[in-house]
Amino acid sequence: MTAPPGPAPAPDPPLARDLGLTVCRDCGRAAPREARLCARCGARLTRPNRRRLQEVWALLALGAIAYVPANILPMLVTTTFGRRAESTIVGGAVDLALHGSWFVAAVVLVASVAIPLGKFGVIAWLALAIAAESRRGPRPRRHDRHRLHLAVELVGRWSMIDVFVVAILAALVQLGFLASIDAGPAAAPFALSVVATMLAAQRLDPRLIWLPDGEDDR
Amino acid sequence: MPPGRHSAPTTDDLAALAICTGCEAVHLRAPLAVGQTAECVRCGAVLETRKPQAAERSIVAALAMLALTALAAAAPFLTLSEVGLSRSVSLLDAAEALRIGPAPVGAMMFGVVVVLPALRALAHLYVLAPIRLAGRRPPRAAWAFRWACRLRPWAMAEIFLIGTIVSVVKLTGLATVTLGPAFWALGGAVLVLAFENAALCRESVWRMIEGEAP
Repeated sequence: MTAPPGPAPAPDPPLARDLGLTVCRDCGRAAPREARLCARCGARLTRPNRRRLQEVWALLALGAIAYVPANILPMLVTTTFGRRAESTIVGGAVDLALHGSWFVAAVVLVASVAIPLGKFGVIAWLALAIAAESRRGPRPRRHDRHRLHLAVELVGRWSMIDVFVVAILAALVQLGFLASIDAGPAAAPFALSVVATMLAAQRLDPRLIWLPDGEDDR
Repeated sequence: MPPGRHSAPTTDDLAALAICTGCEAVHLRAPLAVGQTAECVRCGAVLETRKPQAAERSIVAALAMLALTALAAAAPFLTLSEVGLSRSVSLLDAAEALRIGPAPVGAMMFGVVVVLPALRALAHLYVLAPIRLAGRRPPRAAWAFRWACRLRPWAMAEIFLIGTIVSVVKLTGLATVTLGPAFWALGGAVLVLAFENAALCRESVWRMIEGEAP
């Protein structure tokens, strides 16, 4: 741990909950705790609530379940001179590597395999950690957990690369008997998996990570 | 109000606070000089950045974005040629033609790659141009800007661009692929997006919508 340069760190600031306030997650405006709508942007105000982790779990489960057929079924169906070849996500990346496109193969593997798997793990760990903490106990490693959450939100959308590849190839390569490429049955579950986990990350309220030691939500 | 009596905080009192959306730490808002950034003392998240000419730059970026997305939509995006046969596809063609089973995949792709970035640029223009040029807030400005922010993760032009490059690499050996003007227009749109990210601070726009001078 390194301290930031400059003057000594400020003392602990008051939290919105201590002052009878809350904050709009859409625009960041302060609001009285009992307000239902944000006075500035009109969004519905929510308070950190562990029970809303259920939404995170539901979306995460959907994403993880859809990820299984996304990897087993073929993503692309290529027909050249009447010969039909199918390739899965990983198989497509292996083909790229075998043709010498190591870098592009790595991009596909990171976007379609490493990022989704990492995302399942991180979101599940964050949600489990929040749920498992004793309601009046300490809440360790807040900074790390917050950074992981931000990273997942930032990086998760990049898994869409492979869905776009399928769409581009299927739209472009339609040369009749010579060559045609069509989307395989894995494309839809893969897109669903990415969207569901993006929503799961958005639904995880970082304020739950930052609940003060020894206090509970609400 | 009689002296010595407490009262409920008013809207103005609340405007003087900056609460971190990540961790709920409450700060008293201090005026920032151009180029300064205010960070949360508890979790380190950026609360507000005072960018130089934020409104002007965002208006310019939004206009450029609209022009580039229009070009990216209609011009040829990729051309595929193989022994005398050739096929050009624009994103609009793909939007109309591409269906996978019952799902209008082409239209959905067109939505996240072209329509959402263009809509976000329109929203920025709609909110910021009247504030900057006429000093007044257009109706439903808060609603428009809120949705421009909410839709940001779903506007995927930059991801689509990488997907295009992967597709082109995948096709080497099968056929010759030429990048059309729409590809370069979309590349320009992604650069504009990066510029917009660097030029605009959301909190500053919210303050403008609330009536602070840009």
